[in-house]
Amino acid sequence: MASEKKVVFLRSSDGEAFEVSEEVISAASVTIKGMIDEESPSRADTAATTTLAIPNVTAATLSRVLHYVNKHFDAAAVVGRPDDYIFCAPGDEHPLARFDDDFVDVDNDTLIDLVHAAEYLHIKKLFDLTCKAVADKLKGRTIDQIRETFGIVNDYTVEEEVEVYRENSWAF
Amino acid sequence: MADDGDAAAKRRRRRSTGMGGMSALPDHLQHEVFSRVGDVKSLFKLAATCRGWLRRFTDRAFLRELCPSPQQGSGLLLGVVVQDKWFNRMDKAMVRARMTTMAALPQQRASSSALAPVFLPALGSPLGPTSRALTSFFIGGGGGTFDYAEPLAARRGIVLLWLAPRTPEEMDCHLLGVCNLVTGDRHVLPPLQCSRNGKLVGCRQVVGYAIITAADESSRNGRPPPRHPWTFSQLLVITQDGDCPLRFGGGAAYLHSYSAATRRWSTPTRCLDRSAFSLVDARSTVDHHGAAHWLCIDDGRLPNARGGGGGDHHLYRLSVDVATASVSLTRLPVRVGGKQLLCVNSDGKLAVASVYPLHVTVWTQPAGAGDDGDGDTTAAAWPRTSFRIAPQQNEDHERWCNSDHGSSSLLALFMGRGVFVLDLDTKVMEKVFILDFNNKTRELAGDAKQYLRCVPYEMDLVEFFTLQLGGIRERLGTTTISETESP
Repeated sequence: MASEKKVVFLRSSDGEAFEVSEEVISAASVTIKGMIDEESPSRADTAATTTLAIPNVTAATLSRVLHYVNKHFDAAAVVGRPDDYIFCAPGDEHPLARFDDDFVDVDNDTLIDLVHAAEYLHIKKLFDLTCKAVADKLKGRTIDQIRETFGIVNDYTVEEEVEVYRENSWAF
Repeated sequence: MADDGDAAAKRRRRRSTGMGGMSALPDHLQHEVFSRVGDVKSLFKLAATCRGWLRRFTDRAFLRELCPSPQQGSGLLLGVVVQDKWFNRMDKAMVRARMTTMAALPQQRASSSALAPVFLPALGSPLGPTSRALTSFFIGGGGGTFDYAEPLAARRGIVLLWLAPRTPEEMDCHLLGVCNLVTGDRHVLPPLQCSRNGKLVGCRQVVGYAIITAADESSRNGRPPPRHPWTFSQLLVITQDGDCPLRFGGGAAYLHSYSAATRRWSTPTRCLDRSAFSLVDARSTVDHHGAAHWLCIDDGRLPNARGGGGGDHHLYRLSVDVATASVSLTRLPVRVGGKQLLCVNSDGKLAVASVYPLHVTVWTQPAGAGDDGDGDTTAAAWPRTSFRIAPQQNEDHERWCNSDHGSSSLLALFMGRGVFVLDLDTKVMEKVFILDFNNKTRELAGDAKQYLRCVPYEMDLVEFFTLQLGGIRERLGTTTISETESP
């Protein structure tokens, strides 16, 4: 039974290896699917499982990405349901909406690492989700909240700041 | 642990830029994020947080990528403002319900955003990925004032709305409001009253309007560009009586101007003899010299200027100087025909586009032709070009309007088929994808009694950011800090 389900190992930039179903990760990540396809001729004659190096993603981020991938792309969950899921706004009735909300409820650095990873691995759904999450952190906030959220240092002089505020009072 | 090393690296990164974690993202990823914010105001706040971001958001190349414009015209079209609820003054129950709602304290008013106009964004519009009630752009939502509001025109990000009366007294007035969907500014004008001895004079219908911003006023006087070029400064309105132009001393159309600075309407002045002329379209075009123009047509009974007899219709330009409110009427050497629109082309010249079912003819004012209504324009012929366009169907539901950005383009709204931008320079007609537009219009298309008001909403966000923040950027002075590139 176990032999039916092929797995691959992904090795993070800091050397940790993660096991994931080949089918699931191929469905999720265009980049990894490409790597697997490239490898496959040489794999056909060996029983050994493949280990792919993911040099741009740390273990911490990669384990999060795989958590997401297993939730969203696992065949058992996907079968019988058309893949009509494009992106998930808070409040959507999609069964994974709650999971997605929790998934991106992390600090900015983690989130930005996820954006990078989703881009590199070419996981469209995750990329949309994480970019939207960063965008939402900007939305409807005061200027001080934006500075605080993103650790932006206010480097204006007092006079400059007064001027910025005075000329754009509509925004603040 | 690896995590610690990672976090430490990020702290270093953050310190070195002053722009926070976001600057760790390369440009293309920043754009991916920013394009999902869907709220210009929030982006504007980010732009103002520190010198680094201010510099980025006043960089034209950066902004152009942020507000992609595949074609000059369509890139400025952020969406359309749509209203499909009609306030029927004859419907006593509807009027009573409205008066009761508005008499209540704002906090007690029923939430009524379902009756407010809706903004439908173009695909990829920085104003948001989903349709929203217009009132959601304002803090406080307008408290019912914008229920049933009918969008009339939009210019430079400012939407002009005809508002439903809020009190019995307002039933006999024109109540107008303007709002800016980017800044959230809104302005309800005092009712436009024109009664004399209790009778309305020359004021039954609003037949023309022009939205004037601070930038228009300064362009005329050669003053330096204003600090708030996008602010609403004036509204010009032309009114006339309905079917009986000669009653009550009517027979004329009147010009009213409202000044945002004084918050008052001017005394109306006669601007058009209605027994001989009528406006072609309520929408105006405002040129680079600070004058608003409407197209007019005569009734065909006037003798030809070259001495010939009557019988032909002629086209005229009714112009109002924004600074002085002086009015002039100039005959245009343009043949009457098709659906005619006045626009200002990319060289700042006036042009008349005549839209026919199969082709468009554009008449352009030649260089050096008189511009002040002194009669020179009638002498010089306007060169014209014609080109074919895809056949128009369903003409009953089509509407053409001019683009307000001097980009030589026309906008066509075809109910049921979508919104198109026709570039008069390249002669290319391009569809703009407006979310929900077809759903909204298709359900009405079959209904003969349909009611749908639709106004395209254009705004040049690149100009907006650069003008709004560029001044501060320059005054930030020579105390330059190190350039804020990501490591």
